[in-house]
Amino acid sequence: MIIPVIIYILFLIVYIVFALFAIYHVRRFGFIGDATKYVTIIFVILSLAIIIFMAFYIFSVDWDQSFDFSIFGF
Amino acid sequence: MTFQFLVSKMIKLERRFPGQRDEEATVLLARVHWFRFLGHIFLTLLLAIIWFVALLLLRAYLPAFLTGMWGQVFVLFSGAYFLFVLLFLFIGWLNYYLDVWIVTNERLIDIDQKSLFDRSVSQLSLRKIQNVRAEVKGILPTLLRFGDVDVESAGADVGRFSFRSIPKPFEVERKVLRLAQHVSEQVGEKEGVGTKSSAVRGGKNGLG
Repeated sequence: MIIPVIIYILFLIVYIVFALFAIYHVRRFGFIGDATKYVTIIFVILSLAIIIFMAFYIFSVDWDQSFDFSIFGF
Repeated sequence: MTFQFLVSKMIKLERRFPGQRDEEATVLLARVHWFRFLGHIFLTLLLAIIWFVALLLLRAYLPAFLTGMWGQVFVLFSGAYFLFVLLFLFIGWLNYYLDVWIVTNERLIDIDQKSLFDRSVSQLSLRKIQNVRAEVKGILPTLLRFGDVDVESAGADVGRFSFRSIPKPFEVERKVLRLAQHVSEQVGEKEGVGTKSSAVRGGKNGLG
C-alpha cells in the first residue's frame, strides 16, 4: 500500500515549488541588511529537518501492510 | 535636528531597497506595527495546537489508529502538516515584512505586499506633498503607539498615500513634513536662481 507515500511525495513537490517561490521573492524584494536572510535560513533548516526526518521514516517502515478497518468498528 | 543630520543618521542603517537610485538616501523605513502580525502567529500556534489535540484525542479514544498502517499514515500526515504550518508562517511573515513604506530624500515609496502573488508599488515625489496627517485611534493603538499616516499630494494620479498601522505615526508625520518642506525650499531656491540668471541673461541680450 504505497499510495500514502505517493500522496506525500506529491504534496512535497507542491511544497517545494511554493517554498522556492517564497525564497525567490524574499531574495528579490528583501532589503540589504535586514532580517530576511536569517529568517530564510531558519525556514530552510527547519524544512530540511522535517523532510530528511520523513525520508528516513518512509524508508524505515514497511508500506506493504494493509489498512485495518476493524479499528473503526466495521 | 537638521535635514543633513537626519539623512546621515538614517544612511547608517545601510538599508538599501531594490530600485534605489545611486544618490538616493533612505531616511525612514516603516512597517506595519508588529501587533498586526500577532494574529498570524496566533493562527500558526492554533494550527500546531490542533495537531496536538488530535494526537491526544486519538491516544485517548482510538489508540489503535496510532499503530500499524494507520499509525504510519498519521506520521506521514504529521510531517506534511508541519511543513504546511511552517510555510504558512513563513509566507505570513514575508507578507508582513515586505510590506513597507520607505521615505527617501527624494520620494515616498509604498510597497504593498498583500500576498505572495499580489504586490504593488506606488511612489510619490516629496515635491508633490501638500499635507501630512497622522491619526491614532483606539485603546490598543494608543497604548502601543501605532496609527495611520495620510499624505495628500498635488498630483491627480496618486491623490492620497495612506499608511496603515505604522509605529510612531506622529514622529513619521513630522519627519515627512520636514523633508517635504526642505525639498520645496530647495526647489524654490533653484527656481529663484534660475529666474535671476535668465533675467541677467535677458538683460545682457537686451543691452547687446
